Amino acid sequence: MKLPQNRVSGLHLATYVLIALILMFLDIRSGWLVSSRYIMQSALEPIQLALNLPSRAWRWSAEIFQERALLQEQNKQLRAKNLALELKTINFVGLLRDNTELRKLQDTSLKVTEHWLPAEIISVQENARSIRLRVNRGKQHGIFKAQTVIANGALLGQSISVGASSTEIILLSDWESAVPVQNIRTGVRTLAFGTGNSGTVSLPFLPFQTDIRAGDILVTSGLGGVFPAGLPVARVSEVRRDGISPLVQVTAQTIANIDSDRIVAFIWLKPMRKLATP
Amino acid sequence: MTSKNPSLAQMILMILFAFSIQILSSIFFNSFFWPNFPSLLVLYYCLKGPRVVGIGFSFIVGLGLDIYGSNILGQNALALSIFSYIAINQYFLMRTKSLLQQSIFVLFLLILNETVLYLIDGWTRQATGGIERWLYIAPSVLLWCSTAMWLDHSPSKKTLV
Repeated sequence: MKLPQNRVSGLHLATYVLIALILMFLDIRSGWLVSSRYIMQSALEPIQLALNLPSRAWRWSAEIFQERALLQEQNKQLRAKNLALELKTINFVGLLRDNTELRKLQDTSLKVTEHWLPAEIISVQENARSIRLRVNRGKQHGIFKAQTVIANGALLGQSISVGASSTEIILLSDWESAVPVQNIRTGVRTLAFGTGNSGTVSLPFLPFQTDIRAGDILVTSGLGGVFPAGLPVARVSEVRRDGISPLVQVTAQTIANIDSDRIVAFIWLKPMRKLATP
Repeated sequence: MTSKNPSLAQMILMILFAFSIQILSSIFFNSFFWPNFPSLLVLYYCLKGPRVVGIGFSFIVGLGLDIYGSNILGQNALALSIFSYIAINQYFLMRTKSLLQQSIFVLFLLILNETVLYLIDGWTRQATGGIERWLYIAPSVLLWCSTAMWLDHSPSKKTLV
């Protein structure tokens, strides 16, 4: 590389371009690079985790110095909320039993949540091409590819590449994301695609005459088997019928957002064949 | 004008630092206008120590960017290789130019870099995105200018290029 003049020959460039082209070809066309990618990602992980330390330390100290009265107040509120949730659960058990019986009649395999694992966001990739997160849980915690991720009680996205101790999550609004949804009000099923704009999804495949309005809530339909059924996904924000297109243009805002909370949760599902006990 | 070439260890540390800034900014600001520090640093080293750096260095930094940004492996590496090839070969030309002309050169290189990424995205049928992906270029050039001016007027009289 040390040439007499400060110049690099075109041959050098050609070599590196060729290597890059081969790498890209292998990355797209075959899975050969998956394991090497995994190793390289593991090499980058310590840096990301180390960078996450200051903000963690800050939050930890903020929690320690919080006032006693504030904590007591919070505790009281949480107790009240817990009671309300427990009451709700009692109703839910009955509904779940009924639902299971009905599903058994239809012989469908609805999936229910088995357990879940909280994870902390360590970096956000939000640019024009991708809206993705990296969180501090990975293969060693049992995370797998295409696992459902929730935040604020709503669907956030799914895991896309799993490292040793960190995982990349593709959000619903990412350009390459698609999720089967159902309108709660009418029961219409369709697909929600990411738009590339943060927090926005679109429903491009609804016929002109579909009954849908702004404010409708979309939940996962459970079709495809990747996501469980019934998780809140988005709220319809705009419905446009232009009279020319045979389809109605619908945009919706995702319910889960990453701005308010830095905690997300991975959930594990099991097919509900028998009677489930929550 | 410093004739001393940067050592490899120093460059690796600086690159790690640039990546750290990039990751931290993604956590705290997460703005489209955030300059691309790793690319700027590669350019800086191409102009400062072209005997040490070479295309291989840029290639490896590009691979790092690919892994961090979860692009196709080799995409940024290819773009940065072309980027540094031009930068290194224009080294003597650039040293004699004024700050404004250097800035235009930097602008040109960054646009070229992003164009290569854009084309690869298009050819491989990835999402190509809208105007947002180009927004970082102007702040990057501004950062380059201000840093160059600052270094020029610092007591040690170091010159950037």
